[in-house]
Amino acid sequence: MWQRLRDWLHDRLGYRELMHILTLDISRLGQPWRFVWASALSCVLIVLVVTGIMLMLVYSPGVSTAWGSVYYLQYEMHFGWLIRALHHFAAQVFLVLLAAYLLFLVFVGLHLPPGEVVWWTALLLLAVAFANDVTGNPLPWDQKGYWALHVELNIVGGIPGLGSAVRQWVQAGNEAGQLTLTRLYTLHVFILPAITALLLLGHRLALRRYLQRATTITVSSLPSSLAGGHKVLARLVVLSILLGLCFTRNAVPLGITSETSASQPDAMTASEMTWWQRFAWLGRWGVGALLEAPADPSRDYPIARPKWTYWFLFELRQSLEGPWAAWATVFGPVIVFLVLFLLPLAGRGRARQPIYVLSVVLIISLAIAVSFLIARTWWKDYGPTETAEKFRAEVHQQRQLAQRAIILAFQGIPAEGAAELLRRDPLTRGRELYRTHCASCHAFGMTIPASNPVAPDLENFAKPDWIYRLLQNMRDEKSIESQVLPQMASWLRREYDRAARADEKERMAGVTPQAVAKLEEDLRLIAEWLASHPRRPVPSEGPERETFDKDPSLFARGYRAFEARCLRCHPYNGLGGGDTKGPDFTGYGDADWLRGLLHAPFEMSYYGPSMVRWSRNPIKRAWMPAFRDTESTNAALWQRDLERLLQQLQERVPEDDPKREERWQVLRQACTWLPLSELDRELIIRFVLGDGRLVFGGPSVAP
Amino acid sequence: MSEGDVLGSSPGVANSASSPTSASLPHRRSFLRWLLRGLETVLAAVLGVPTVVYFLSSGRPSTRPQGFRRVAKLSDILLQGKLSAKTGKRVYEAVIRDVRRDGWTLFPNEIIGRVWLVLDVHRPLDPNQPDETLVAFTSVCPHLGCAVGYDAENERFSCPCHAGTFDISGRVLEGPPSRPMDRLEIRLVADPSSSAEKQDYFVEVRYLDFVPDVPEKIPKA
Ligand code: FES
Repeated sequence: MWQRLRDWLHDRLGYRELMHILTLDISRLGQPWRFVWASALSCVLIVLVVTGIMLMLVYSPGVSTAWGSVYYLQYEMHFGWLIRALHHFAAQVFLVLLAAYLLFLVFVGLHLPPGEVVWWTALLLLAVAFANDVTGNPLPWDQKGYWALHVELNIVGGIPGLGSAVRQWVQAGNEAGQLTLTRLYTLHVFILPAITALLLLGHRLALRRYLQRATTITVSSLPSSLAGGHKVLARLVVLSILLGLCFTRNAVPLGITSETSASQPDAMTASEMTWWQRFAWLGRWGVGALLEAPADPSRDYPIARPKWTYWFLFELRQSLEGPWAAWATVFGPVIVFLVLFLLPLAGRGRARQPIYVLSVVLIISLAIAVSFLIARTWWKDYGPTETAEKFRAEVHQQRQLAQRAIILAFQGIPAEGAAELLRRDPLTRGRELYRTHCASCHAFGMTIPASNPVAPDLENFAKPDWIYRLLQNMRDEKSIESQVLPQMASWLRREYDRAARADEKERMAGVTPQAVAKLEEDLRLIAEWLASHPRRPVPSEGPERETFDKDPSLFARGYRAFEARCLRCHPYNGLGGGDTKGPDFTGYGDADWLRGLLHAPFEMSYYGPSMVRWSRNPIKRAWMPAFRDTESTNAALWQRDLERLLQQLQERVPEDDPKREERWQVLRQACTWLPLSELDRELIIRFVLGDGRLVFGGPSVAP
Repeated sequence: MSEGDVLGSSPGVANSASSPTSASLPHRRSFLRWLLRGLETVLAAVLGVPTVVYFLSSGRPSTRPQGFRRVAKLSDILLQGKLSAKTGKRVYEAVIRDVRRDGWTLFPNEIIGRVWLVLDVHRPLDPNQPDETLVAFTSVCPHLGCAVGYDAENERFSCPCHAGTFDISGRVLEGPPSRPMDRLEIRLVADPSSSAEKQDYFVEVRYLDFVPDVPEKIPKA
């Protein structure tokens, strides 16, 4: 049945003749061990093609989508990590095997006539494989690929003559961008593979002809019947190496914890996964090929390196200077390639033997030179030297950025592109913005010192301990806190004094003193309460109030303490506040509250004129400026608003104040604003609150 | 990988166990060959099975919350809804917004659907039992899922794709749809910012998708 079908097919297609030409049973030639190369190479090539097609199912070649798609492939698709790792490592194994194959061809003299075409096609295959490597590396559009491409394009552009034209064509613009990526993609998945296929066909045909006429090949002593075994063994070895490479931890882990963390609310935790899911998502543990942070031309990348397969060129260029560098990287390889290409032409007739010797020597010295240069770069970057250490520190930093980007990507990538991940990350970008906009006055723990520390440290801002510490610091007259908030500080000191006096009296009366302890307990409770950013309304009277008074919840107890101690000055949700008027504590410390504070800190519902310190020393005369978006369409409106506010503040300076004019002047200076875009403001707010979620543009439902 | 070699030798002949010389082999050799073959098969499975799984998988499934969503205020319908003179009902189109995930991309605030709210102005409104007075239809056509629009002139709903039309209560008038427009569960929540004498309500809808082109209304899994 099967046979009849084949016969029929052959009758219609005549495929057997074609197969006869394409196939050649070399095992009959009795030298099977020589041809394990071919077997190993072809199985790696098949891996490359299959995984390449698999990658194309997900990959999306666009500057805003490429990184996201590769991220998705590696961390979300089942076994995507393995597919990508296989492709990544197979490409390198292929290069190495191909180079070894070339060595082998030279050793057996296959490159000399009548093997010219065998040799040429193999040599061209190597060149195309390198080209495939170059075009493939930037496709994920991560920092590593992008900056390598950047350098490569500059090298190509520097070649006299055709260089700039080639560069212009590949780049298709003033710098590497959208079209560059599409072109590299087309080259990588179609044009270069098609050339490879043609070269393989040529190689195959040439090899067949060569072997058909070769009478000079000595018959090996190995029994021919083991031929199949040799090839299977070769494939086994190569595939095992490949698989072993795939299971190395090269990538950045997603940071999976055994419990759900707030920063990754929908991440599946390790304990929820079955062993099969763990295996399918092994990439989340950092197994597989590396994906760096998304390409961002505005963020520098101090560890730009080509892939190791190009380190010999890199090293060559580094060790030479001036015009020689260009020679080394461009003309050197071209000349070597040409010499290798032309070798067979010289090896005719009687010259065959000397040329054979020469070419063996040449190719061995080439192999040694290339390996040496590669090893040198490795030594520079990973050896026990100081520069290497610095390099590794940088690498570590970049990996952390990459991990941050990947954790954010897990929550979802903005449509504007993956580069926005880090640009809108409160923990990276927000920190940088804090440094530039806030750190002149506010320190942030140990990591960001203030250049002129005239305001509280904002690390752990609005957390219970932070609030309590703020209050305690006010008891010291010299502290920053009591200078910033003098009224509040003197009230607190009075309160402590009063409690201490009461305690004294009690002690005299022989009762255990409690007033100070009670005050401290209340302050703790209030700190706890404020740290919850309370916004809920509280009943002020009636039966609801009575039940509220008995409510044992933290909110109710906290509010009652607040009511007893603070409500006289600090309004809360429409209640309280006298004319001393401290800031309104509705929603204290949450994002909305901070937004208002940044918009107008000297507003009466925030810190009012107390934000302005009337020191005669102009350096100490600090104030918290407002931060607003000067580019906003509302800017003119806000300006008017600001002037009204200034007027209000100026009216509050008593008329009989002898320094009235001067104070007005200071107020006018204080009521200024500094430019801060809305996005930057949100980033700073989230950074201060330790909220690591990405800031999406526009009004958002989530995340 | 038992595929043929591209570079070197022929795929079938050299590898096959039935090559002419195999019969004369010592046992040791043939055992070795079977061992190698077996190992290769294992390796091929280790590579092949994940590849197939990958090919069949499509990444993270997106889940949509099934709870009630606030879509409009009652006063919106009263003020902006189109009045149908025949029935004395007001028809108002509200949008459903939500986070939408598309592969790796996240759209934080996308319109993921629309609903038609039909309010019978002449009936008294019981906030706890609004179903008699206020009806919500998804704008997804029960036929094949096009967006149903409201034809104010003829006071009926009509679908542009296959000319299905529905009356203002969602019943099929003409065209291919095999069931009435899909009603959605509805709930009213008092708006605290409105005054007691002019109490306003938020309209909340449980937005679901239904299986198209079947006579029964079955929620999509
Ligand atoms: S989809 Fe509405 S009538 Fe066919």
